[in-house]
Amino acid sequence: MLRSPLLALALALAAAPAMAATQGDLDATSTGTAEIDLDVPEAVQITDMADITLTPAAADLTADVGDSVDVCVYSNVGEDRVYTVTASGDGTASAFTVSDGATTTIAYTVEFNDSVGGGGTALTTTVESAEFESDATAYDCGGGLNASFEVTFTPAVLQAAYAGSYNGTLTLLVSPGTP
Amino acid sequence: MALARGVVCALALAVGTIPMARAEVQILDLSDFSAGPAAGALSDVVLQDEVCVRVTGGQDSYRLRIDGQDGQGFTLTHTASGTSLPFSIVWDSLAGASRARSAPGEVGVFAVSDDSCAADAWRAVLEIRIAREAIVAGLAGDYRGGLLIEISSP
Repeated sequence: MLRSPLLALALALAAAPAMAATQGDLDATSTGTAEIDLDVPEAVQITDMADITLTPAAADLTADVGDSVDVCVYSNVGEDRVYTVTASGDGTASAFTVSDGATTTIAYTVEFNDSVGGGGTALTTTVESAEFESDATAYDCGGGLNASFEVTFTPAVLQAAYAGSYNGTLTLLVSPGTP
Repeated sequence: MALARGVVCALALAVGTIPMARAEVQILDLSDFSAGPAAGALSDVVLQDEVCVRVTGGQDSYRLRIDGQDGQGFTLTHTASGTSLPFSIVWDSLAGASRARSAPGEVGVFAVSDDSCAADAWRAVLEIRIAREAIVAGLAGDYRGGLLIEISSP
């Protein structure tokens, strides 16, 4: 709480940008000035998300099964264009799981990388990641891609599961980092 | 004949002392430009200011020059990083002429409008344009810059 209107006014004046247009004089030549102030808001965006469909053969269940998706992440925050990622699954308590629609679920892991090709930093559901960096100077990354996420099922969980079709939704929330 | 010469001479002297109205100009009603677009709707930023141009001495036109402040081009400077953001200007005389410039210098000679804003003064519009692509390519934060607007007789 501000203690007095005078203090509030003083704070407001201190926070205001020091701008002041000047008018020209009447003369043979007259010069005036105008200041320009543009405040660009923080903005982040992730695009080029794609579904992952895995159809491993029986012989594949002895190794990790997974795939990665290359995406475009734009950020204008700080000179390194930093951002964070918070992933969540649609399992119980936002767990990274796929479900057969009944009672069986299979857990998977998620990694995020600020370059293409998958791999990178392991994510914990609903936990904001450390900062990543973007090199994009356009919302569409200039038509390219600059980051990726990867999902992986281990042999142990695959071998423990019943045969069948499982599906789930992975949500990636991209937030501005700290400039 | 001598008398006639004297009359001509006297007339010439009289003409030479007729007081001439001095042509003067003045730029008025300039305002600062300020914008803070929302994150979800970054688009071209267009800012307009109605200004007032005074011309005296029977003139009906003026010459306009616009420069960036501190000798800069038409750029805004990011206060934290020092990176720059380009902009362009448009001058609309409101008398049928509108000219855009993306670099400092003379904009042109314009006729005054018929929209009076004070004695011997007429409205014109100064517009600042910042392209969406430039804003997206820039960084979040505060950008500052300025313009010097000079009016003179044509």
